Amino acid sequence: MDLTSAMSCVSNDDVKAAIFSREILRNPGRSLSPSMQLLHDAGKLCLAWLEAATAPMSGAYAFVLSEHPALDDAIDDSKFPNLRNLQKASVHDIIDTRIFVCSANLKVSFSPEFGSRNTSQIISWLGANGIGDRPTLVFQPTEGMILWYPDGVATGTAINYVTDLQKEDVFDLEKYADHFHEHWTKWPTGFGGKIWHDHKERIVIKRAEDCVRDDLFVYLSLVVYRTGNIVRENLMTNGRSDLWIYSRYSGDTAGSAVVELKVLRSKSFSIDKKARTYSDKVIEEYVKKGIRQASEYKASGKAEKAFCWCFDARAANNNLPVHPNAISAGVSLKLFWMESNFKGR
Amino acid sequence: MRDREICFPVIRRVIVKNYAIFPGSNPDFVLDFHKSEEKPRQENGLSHDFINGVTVIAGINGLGKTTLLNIILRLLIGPLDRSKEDPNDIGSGVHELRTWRTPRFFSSRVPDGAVDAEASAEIWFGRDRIEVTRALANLQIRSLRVNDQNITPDESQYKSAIERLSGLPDFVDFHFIVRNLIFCLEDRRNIIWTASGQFDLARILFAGKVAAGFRKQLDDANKKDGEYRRQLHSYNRLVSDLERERKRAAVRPGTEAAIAALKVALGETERRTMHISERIDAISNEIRACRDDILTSRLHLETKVREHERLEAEYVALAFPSADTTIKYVLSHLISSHKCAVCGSADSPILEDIKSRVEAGHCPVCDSPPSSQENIVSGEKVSAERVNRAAKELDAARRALEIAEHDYHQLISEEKELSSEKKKLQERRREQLHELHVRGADLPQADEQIRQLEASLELASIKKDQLEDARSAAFQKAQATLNVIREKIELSHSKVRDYFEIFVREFVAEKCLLSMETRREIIGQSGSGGSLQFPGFQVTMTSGVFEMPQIRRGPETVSESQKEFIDLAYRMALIATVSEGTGGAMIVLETPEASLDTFFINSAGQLLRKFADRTYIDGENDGMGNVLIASSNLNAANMIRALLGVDDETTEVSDRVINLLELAAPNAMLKAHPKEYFAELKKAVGLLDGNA
Amino acid sequence: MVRLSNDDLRRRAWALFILDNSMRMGLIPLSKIRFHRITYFCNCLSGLFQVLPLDTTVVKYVRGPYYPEMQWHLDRLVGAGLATIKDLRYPMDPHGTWMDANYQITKSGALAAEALRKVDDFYSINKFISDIIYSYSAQEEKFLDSLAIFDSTYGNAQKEEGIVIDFSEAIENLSVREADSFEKFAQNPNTLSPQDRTFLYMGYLQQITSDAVRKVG
Repeated sequence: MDLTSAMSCVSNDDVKAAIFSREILRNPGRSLSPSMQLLHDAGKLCLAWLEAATAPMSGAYAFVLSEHPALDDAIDDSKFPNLRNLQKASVHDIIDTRIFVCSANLKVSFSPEFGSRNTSQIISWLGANGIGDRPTLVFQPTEGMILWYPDGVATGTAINYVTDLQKEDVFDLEKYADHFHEHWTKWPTGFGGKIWHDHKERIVIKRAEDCVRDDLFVYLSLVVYRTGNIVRENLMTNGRSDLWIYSRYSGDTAGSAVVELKVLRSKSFSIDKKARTYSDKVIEEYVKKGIRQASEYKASGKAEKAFCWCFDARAANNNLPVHPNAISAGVSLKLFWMESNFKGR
Repeated sequence: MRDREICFPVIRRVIVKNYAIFPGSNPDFVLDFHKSEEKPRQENGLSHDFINGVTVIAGINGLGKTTLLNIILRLLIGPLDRSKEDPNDIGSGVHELRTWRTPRFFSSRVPDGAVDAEASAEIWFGRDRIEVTRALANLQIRSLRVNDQNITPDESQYKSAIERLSGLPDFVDFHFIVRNLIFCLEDRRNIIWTASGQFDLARILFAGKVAAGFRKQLDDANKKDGEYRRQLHSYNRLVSDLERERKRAAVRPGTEAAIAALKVALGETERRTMHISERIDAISNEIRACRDDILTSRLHLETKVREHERLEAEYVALAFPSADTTIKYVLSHLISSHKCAVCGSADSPILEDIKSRVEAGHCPVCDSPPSSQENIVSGEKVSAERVNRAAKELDAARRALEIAEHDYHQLISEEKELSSEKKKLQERRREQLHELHVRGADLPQADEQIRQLEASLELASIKKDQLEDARSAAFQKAQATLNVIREKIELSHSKVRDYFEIFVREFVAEKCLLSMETRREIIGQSGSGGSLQFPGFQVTMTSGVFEMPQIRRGPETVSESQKEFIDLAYRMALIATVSEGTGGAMIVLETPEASLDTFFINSAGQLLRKFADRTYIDGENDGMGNVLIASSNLNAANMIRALLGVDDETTEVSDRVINLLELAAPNAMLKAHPKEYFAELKKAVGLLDGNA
Repeated sequence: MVRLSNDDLRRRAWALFILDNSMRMGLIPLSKIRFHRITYFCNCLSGLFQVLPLDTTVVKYVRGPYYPEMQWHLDRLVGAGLATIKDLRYPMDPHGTWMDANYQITKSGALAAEALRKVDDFYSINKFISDIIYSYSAQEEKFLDSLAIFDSTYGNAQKEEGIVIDFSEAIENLSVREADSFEKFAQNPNTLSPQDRTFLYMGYLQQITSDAVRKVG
């Protein structure tokens, strides 16, 4: 039988259904920046490894981003003799390889000969070999931790990514939100710094909500990947919800949650250099709108829970009388204050 | 109703009671005629029996002469007046009665509003009489007797009695006669000088029952004339509308032709558009096919390029082994494809050179011939035949592509042209459609309008004809009646004329004659066939200037006094004519205030007496008696004397005077100068010498 | 100087982005075959991303989808130093002589791509190309050359070799239709992004390719 005739008999729904259930959770859904892509793909890979490991894993593994692997000066053939495709690599194949300098999608990865499993030693090596400034994911399977260094291990700023949480009920998103904020958005430099145009003046960039949403998406997608799926900008009948979390990908919406995100700002940066200002009254309405949206989407999408998380970048941490609205709307409201100054960690 | 001759009403008695104007005898003013029989004093009111001949109501201004005359009038005609009456043209107006215009005439003159005031009269028609009593306040009939028979005291009974006894066609005519012929009051309604007045009198008096329906017929003719006129107007309007529409439509043949032409043009445009569309479709298919050709040709060319390229690459590799892949590729690809990857040119000028270089074994870099080469670059020559064959196939493929591309571009430009032409045609179609729409918009409307107008016109025409027929019929009827009336009038005409001459010469020095004429009178307002021939009299008279009698058409053509007397003479002539042999007649006259020539006064007085005595024919009384009631002011003493015939010893005056000085409530003037007025009165009635 | 037309500029940009994203996604080096396969997928699936394709046709060619014009632009990148050509060879097969090579973006090329991405229109073009390549590169290595052959549009048995397949009309684009058909498995069809659809479609192509190869043996 030749290829052509072999082709003609394979289009059927069963095949597609199987592919769907297998593949859909692999895909981040929409294009991410290379570093976020690495975090997403490497994070998921680590979790998959954790799950598939028959023997306990120990030590640490580091995934360092190389945007143009073939052109990467840091990748010296002599130093990086091992070329792998990590996309489909099983945990057993790589169990002893600790450092991966890879493409964002993990298809190509170069690994040096490096024997230590120790996290700090790995980190030192990276710094010493000129790749301490690359987005890096460090996986500590015993601790159940993923450390994310968005600007590289050399900066010392990491986000703790507690993987045990994956086993928790997806409903307990509040804990995740707290953790996300604590390690992700609270401080002005590093990851959280994304939303500031000028953190001292507390001027926020225009696309702040999108940044928060995308980051939270990646964060939560690693958290919920086994038990559900997370969607950005889920199209509802009455609008688009910032995040929608399905507890199962197919089937009914039981266990679903909707998350509305707001970045509260007193000053916003705009191209013509004139910063827009917002009064607390306006912000109060803005928060109430978020509460309303969360409630409406929950109703129209038949979710179990509704969350409204506000990342507070206002000039002053004044009280906003919005909690009664949240309570009466049945929405779980949280305000996360974003710091101006880096206190040092 | 028995057909009888006309009997004029003659009042032989009048009584007024409980009316403050006539309170009763005032002894201070009783005239002493030294008669054996003393008339009983009248304690309350007024009472008088009228004897044949003249009776004078003597008084001064404001004493009640006019009031008394009006009492007598109203006793006769009741509280009715003619609708729309023109005193200057008594014949005009509607033949209808309505309630009197001055209902407070009597009541307003007295303080108590005449609540109990009453007036009674004995009205004789030949030998029949009606006794009627009316309340003066509203003229309501209190009692009614006809020939001593009591009958229901209401107006309708009164009217029918009047009609019956007077022999007149209807009460309206009676009213007319009384008001205009019999009574000759201050308002001086002239009857001879108005054609319609003249006619009406003549109709009533001479045509009588025969002309009974004439009024109605005339009214009907008028009405039908009006209807016809209105219909004619509508009809004419429709005619002009239709004409206007038809004129517009007359332009239409031009418009229709234009529309037809437009439709043809539009059809042509559409046909061409369709044709072009078909062409465009066909070309699109050709273009697609051509495009496919190009794509496959390109691919084919590519394979041929690669084949040739391989050979060239081999050569370059041999000649220049250390050249890196890029140079090798760029060079060999350039030779085969003619495209330079380094600069992007698709048309390298040194192509042939390189080709020949390679083929001739020259250095691909510096073009040195083998003879100059240290190491022969073309050591193992690449098979020339293979190269040539590949080159040939390559050229063929290139040519095929060029042709395909050329055809493609041609088709594209043809398509473009066709598309633009199609666009123009579509634009033209739009314009043509618009034009068609604009032109065509008028047509159906105009047609519809004309149809409607024609239908309306037909209906209007039918109606018009109907109305015209009706009008003609009405006119004919009226005219027929008029002709009958005319005959009747003509019968009496000579008599009237004769009497007139008798009477008028007493008043007027000039020779005055009455002649018959036919007067065309336009009925209504329409000109065509809308006139009737009315018989009438006209006056001819000589004057100081003209010896031959001239027709005097209007009262302005005679002097004031002449006018009065001619009218009076005519009046008397009519009465005389009608009452010939039928019984007495009456005239109630308010003598003119103006001073009159003594001669005429005497003459007039004489005539009036003659009339009253019915001795106008050869001085013989014909056995009947006329009553002439004349009211006069005391200052016209001669008039009274003349009327009473004081200077004529044959007359008996005592019963012929209604002395208002005695009977009426005195007014200020009388109270101021009682003696003087009384002396005047006595003079007037001959109790004093006129010259005393 | 001959100015590049807008069309040429777009083609050149596509070629550059394909090279750049291929490297980023670990397709190193990128074979000529894979360059054209990817070009075909980008043309064919552009409808999912609301991006204008370069070509809405493909010739059913014995050697798989191939775009001569794009090849020229790739060659130009090489001539301009934005790409390198390696492993040039002229294999012979039953259909004649062909040319094969491996391409790779250079540092200059990477910088050029970086600069070009900052221009609005090209930003979204690059994004879409990277999405396509992400999905493509996620499939097994051994099947990458064959996926396009089994593509629903290209692989349509009813289309004979040598004819031009026109997928400009949505109804003719079986690939997009196939990609969209995964909607029925999603709870909310709207949650399937273009990349999800592409990813699933590529997975599906791999499956059928793998099945077909297994059958043939």
